[in-house]
Amino acid sequence: MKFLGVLLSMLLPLSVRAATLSGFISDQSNGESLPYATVVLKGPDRPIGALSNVDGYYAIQGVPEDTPYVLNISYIGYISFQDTLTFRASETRRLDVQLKPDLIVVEEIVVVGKREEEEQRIQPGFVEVETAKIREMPAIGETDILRSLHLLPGIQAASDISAGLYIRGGGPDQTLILLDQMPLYNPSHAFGFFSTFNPDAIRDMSLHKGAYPAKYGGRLGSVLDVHNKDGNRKGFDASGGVSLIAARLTLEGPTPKGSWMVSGRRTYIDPLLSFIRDEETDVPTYYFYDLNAKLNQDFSDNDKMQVSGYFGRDDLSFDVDEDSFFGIRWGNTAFLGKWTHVFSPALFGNFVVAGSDYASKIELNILDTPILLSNSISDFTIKGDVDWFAARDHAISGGFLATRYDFEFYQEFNRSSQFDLNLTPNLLSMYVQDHWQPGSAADIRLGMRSSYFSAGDRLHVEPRLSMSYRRGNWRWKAAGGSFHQYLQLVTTELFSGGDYWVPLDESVEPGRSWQSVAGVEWEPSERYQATVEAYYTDMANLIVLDNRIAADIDAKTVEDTFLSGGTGYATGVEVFLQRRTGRLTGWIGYTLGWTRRTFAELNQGKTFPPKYDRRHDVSFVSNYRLGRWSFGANYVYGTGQAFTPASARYSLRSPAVPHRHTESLVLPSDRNSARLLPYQRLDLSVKMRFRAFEVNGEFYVQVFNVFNRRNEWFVIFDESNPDVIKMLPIVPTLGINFNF
Amino acid sequence: MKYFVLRVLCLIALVGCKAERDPSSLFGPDASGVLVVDALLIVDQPLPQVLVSETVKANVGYSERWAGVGDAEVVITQGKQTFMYRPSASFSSGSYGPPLNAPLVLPNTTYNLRVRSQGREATAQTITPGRFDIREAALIDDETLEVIRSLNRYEDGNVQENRVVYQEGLLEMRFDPLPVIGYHIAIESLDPESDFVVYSDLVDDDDRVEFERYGSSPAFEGTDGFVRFPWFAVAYAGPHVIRIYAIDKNWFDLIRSVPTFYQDDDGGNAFQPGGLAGDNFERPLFNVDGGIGIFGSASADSVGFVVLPRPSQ
Repeated sequence: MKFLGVLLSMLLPLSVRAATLSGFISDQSNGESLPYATVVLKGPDRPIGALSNVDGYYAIQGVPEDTPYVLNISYIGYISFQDTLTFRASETRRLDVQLKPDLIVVEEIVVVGKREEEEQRIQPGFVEVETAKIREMPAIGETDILRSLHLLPGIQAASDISAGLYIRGGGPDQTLILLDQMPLYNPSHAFGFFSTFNPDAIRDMSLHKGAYPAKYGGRLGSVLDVHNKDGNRKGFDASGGVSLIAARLTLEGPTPKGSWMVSGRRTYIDPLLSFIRDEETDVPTYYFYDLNAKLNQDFSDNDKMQVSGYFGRDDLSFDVDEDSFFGIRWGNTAFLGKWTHVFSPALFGNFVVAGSDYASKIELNILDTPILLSNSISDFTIKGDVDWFAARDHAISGGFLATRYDFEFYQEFNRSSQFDLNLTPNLLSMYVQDHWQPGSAADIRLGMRSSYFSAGDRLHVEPRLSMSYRRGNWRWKAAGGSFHQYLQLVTTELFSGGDYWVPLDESVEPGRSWQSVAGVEWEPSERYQATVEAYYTDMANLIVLDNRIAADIDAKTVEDTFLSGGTGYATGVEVFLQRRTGRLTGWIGYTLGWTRRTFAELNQGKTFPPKYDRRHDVSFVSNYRLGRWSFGANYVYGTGQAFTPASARYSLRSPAVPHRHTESLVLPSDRNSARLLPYQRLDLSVKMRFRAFEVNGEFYVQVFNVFNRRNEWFVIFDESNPDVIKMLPIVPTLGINFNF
Repeated sequence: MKYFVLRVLCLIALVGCKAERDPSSLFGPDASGVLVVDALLIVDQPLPQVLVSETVKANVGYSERWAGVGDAEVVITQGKQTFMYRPSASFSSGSYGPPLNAPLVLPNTTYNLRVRSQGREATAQTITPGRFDIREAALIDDETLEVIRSLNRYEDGNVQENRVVYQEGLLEMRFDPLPVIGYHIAIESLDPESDFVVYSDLVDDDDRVEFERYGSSPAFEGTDGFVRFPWFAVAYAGPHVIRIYAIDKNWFDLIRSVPTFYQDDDGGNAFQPGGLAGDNFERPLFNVDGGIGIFGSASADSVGFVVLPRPSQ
């Protein structure tokens, strides 16, 4: 309290006579808000700066009176707004600014690198990914934002068919994935092959690879924050595309004081499958679809409402005959209602009611033996976030979150119930963060997050800190913090279709990590940028599913089915060289990393690398624009994934089997103590833009894995020789996108 | 920059296509020459034979004949009694038989095994479970789960009430749970010439040879006191026997950590189907000091029944 009093006494005198400038920043062409735009007032003394928040709102406090200032508002891909302003004493001026897209910049897919715009990179490990840029990358089938992230340093995939994110040595469960602030528990279609994010519907996407700020919580590693488009406030707009996998359509338009957006996507694999199905050939049916919708309404200059939702489903079924069938269905449903209110020019608030549900159901009937596994996790959340632009050097954020989880897991074998777990824990969190700019070159974010998880009465306080200092073309950054995780994902490293989440209970300690990141950024010119970051994460209380539980275990607690008390670490260095302007753009990324785990009951207690431990990871991404044509190339090289080799063969007679039938067996060596061959892949794409019948179109041809290199996936040891299972061969695809 | 990109692409093309490896690189450090013991004690049965072998190199085909250890000293002790085992002449090298006067295996009793060979020593201990009985075997309705009729407790099962039509109803074994860690269930078709009864689009004619006439379950805790038998474990008509074993920790640990005993190499379990990525390829829980293998014990009971093909077949 004493600290708070001192802080307020420092801040309040500033705000008595100084002026305040605030407002919303949006896109002139469609009215979309522009998050993280840079607002700078340049006057006789040092510049005063601010970033717009995720809703495009900014406020600058403490502007001296009667002094001419040049206001510069800039944003990637937009023409900067400039004006000369002079403020009266204690004036509060509202200035909503619409930035005009820079068509030349858009033409070249340029990432404008003005220094002001780099302010958003205060946080080390923070990446704001432009959807326009992702669209230019070669892809398999169609653009996929999660897959495109695999090309950034420090991020990798488990396999060619997995869109899961393995960030800085963490598993996919350690990344919080938000869509318009709604958590998505399993953001994948087709057993992880595609992400659930429809690229047409996405406005922006930011990724905290580690040491994320106090605003977020609940995961040990990282945060992917995806925002859908608000909808075009200026006119009707339609966009879509057809690929070999799915068709998609996005419609958006204005309302009298707002906008709407509806976006849908559906695969048409099922009609293709039915085409080859006949009496002789049994073929399963499969389809997925997703639907995004959003409605924005302004009730006044200071009050905005937003309602958004997501609905996605996957369905695979295979009816063999009356005694045997297989079916698996899974999907996410999420909704959000948000009220945005500007209490005063310096006080901005968001209040959210949200819910998210993920359910999966596996039904099998094998020769009249039914098996059922169903799982669901749903949450209902009330949260509030307030930004207080307290002074010219201080912006204070704070908020609360209250979530009730409802988890169910049910398993039935041969008409006998085996598992029937139902957990309903609550999570309460609060945070506060001060963004302090002690000078024009320095930024400090000091935050604190506190969480209470009702299962086990867990109370945790998590300090967070990030700092950056700029001198000339160089910027030094550092961050660190403590993080806890109360939910555990049960998954394999191959498929995500049967994934499910389990909230931890009183029987196991929640996962805990300490992260530290330090880096330096160099911008020799607007065209080039180089970044080097080093990270270290210490993990404790890790848990993994116990693969050796009895088939009918009467599980009462999480401890009954999981191995707990694991520890681990992840460390590495990332190098990122980027060319951001011109016809040729792209980057080279390199990661040198280590990650290890230790569980008392795994690998005889010895430390081992998880499968996704990768010593070297290189990615090369380039795009070249020539008139209507665009050429893209991705190259990826990575150290082979870890696997467990065989060390000997032996035989035992099978217990209980009559006459003790002898089984020839393989004795594993230490867990994940060998490596698959290095992973290499080159993807190419060619795109041609055209305009016909008032429609802007784009035709593309993409080739995944051009050299048809059969990268190794995993190894199976059986009675004879080891069998190496390979990943995808060359996959050419084509498609068309349109917009009108 | 453009030429740099071009050169990089050419270099990648030269090295990017090849993804072959030396098969020997798939094997870890050699762990051959480790003693492997194999003995299971069944309550009220004679002391079992003990098989002693050793691990062989992973990159060569396995042969029981040359993996057997024929010169071992094999001893089982129970309390103050010591049973010196002798090589069994009628079996392959590495098979050892109990002394002729050895008593039956006692319930709730501790037995120790010691095997020595060429400077190697493997030891293990098991505590036998109490006697186990199946209280009732019943055919139940697969919808209402009500008892249609109880089966007779004959080992051969060839009595009228023990004749069940394939996939009509469910066989349920009921028992009073013992203070044991788990159970293991096995089924055996007793007539090697009986007809195949599985008529499903899941099974092609070529697949029939893969259906064994015996099989066993994963490890069960069995705390509910009943087991409902899955029809997918039955593939042939004729007389069958179901045996339920109340097992000790060594037996339980082995079968829960070696999925090969009850399923394909893919691994996984009912809680997590599949384990292809190697999640399950973990050193089994042997509970043998100085070696690997199994020295476990169980008590068992069985029920016989006859499978009749469905009338439509």
